[in-house]
Amino acid sequence: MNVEVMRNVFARNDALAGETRALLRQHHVTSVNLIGGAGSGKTTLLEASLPKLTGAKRVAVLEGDIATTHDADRIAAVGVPAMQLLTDGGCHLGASQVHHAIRKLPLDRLDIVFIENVGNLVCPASFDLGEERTVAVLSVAEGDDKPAKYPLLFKRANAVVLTKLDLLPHVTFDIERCTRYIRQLNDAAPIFPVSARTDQGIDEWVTWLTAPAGQ
Amino acid sequence: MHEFAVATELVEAALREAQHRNARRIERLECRVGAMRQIAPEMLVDAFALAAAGTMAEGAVLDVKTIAPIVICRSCGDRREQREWAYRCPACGSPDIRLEGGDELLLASVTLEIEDER
Repeated sequence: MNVEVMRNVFARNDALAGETRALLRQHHVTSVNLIGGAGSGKTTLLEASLPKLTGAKRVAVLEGDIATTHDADRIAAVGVPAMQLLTDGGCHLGASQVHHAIRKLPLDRLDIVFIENVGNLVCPASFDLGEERTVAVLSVAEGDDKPAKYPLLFKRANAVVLTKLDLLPHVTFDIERCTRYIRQLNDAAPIFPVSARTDQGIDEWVTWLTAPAGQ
Repeated sequence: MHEFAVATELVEAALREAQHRNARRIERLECRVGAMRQIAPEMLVDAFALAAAGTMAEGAVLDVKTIAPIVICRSCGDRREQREWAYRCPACGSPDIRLEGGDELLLASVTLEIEDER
């Protein structure tokens, strides 16, 4: 007997992500899922952005990592509460891990929750964590063809942050070509070229974070 | 290496369908995977065999159908399925293209052996 199913393979993950999203909305908390390769500068981007946010917003960070609490320690050092989510070798965060963590947060006393995913351009792109905004983080040191190589992430992203702009004179990275690859997949996502080291572009990115979704 | 997560969910969804229909065994599954998912079919089949071991899906055939994105050219209007990642319009060569689909990930169908099938 042949039965047509036509069911989304990650239906269970997505249903739980939906619950997380509803919970966060109910508490008026914006959530941001940062996805990028290992060493793309996700934690450094947070270190540069959080001090500009914490004056007006109450922020917490969930730090996804394969191992160690280094990143959570770095976030805590800038005065923002961070919870480390260890995947013990797992290559991505799943909705259930994030859901359990979110339920432990004092949501009534928060405005923004960042989820820093495990450094990986492939696997995390397939998993909805219940975030309001998915952000792709790509450093100019990684190469301008990455959106073409990892299309799912750039298709899904609500914004793309190009990090380490201060390295541009030292690497072969054509922002125009990178933008073209992104636009083949995604018409809408704003692209923020930034440097955490020189502070270039960080204000524009932070403004986007604090603006209502869909802008 | 997200193949194992996909395999586990495929087995779970197929088992649910099988229980719902009082099946005795799951013989075959067909899944549709968009090329953008970057799932290696051979790895998915291997992971599926491991995930299915000891369940009603043990020994079932997993048929993986890869779905290519549709390339739509903003310059010449050409529209076609593109298996190769050329990132240019296959008709006029323009890089001003848009990719549609290719991100599917579905359990399309299951073939079940039913208890009292007459």
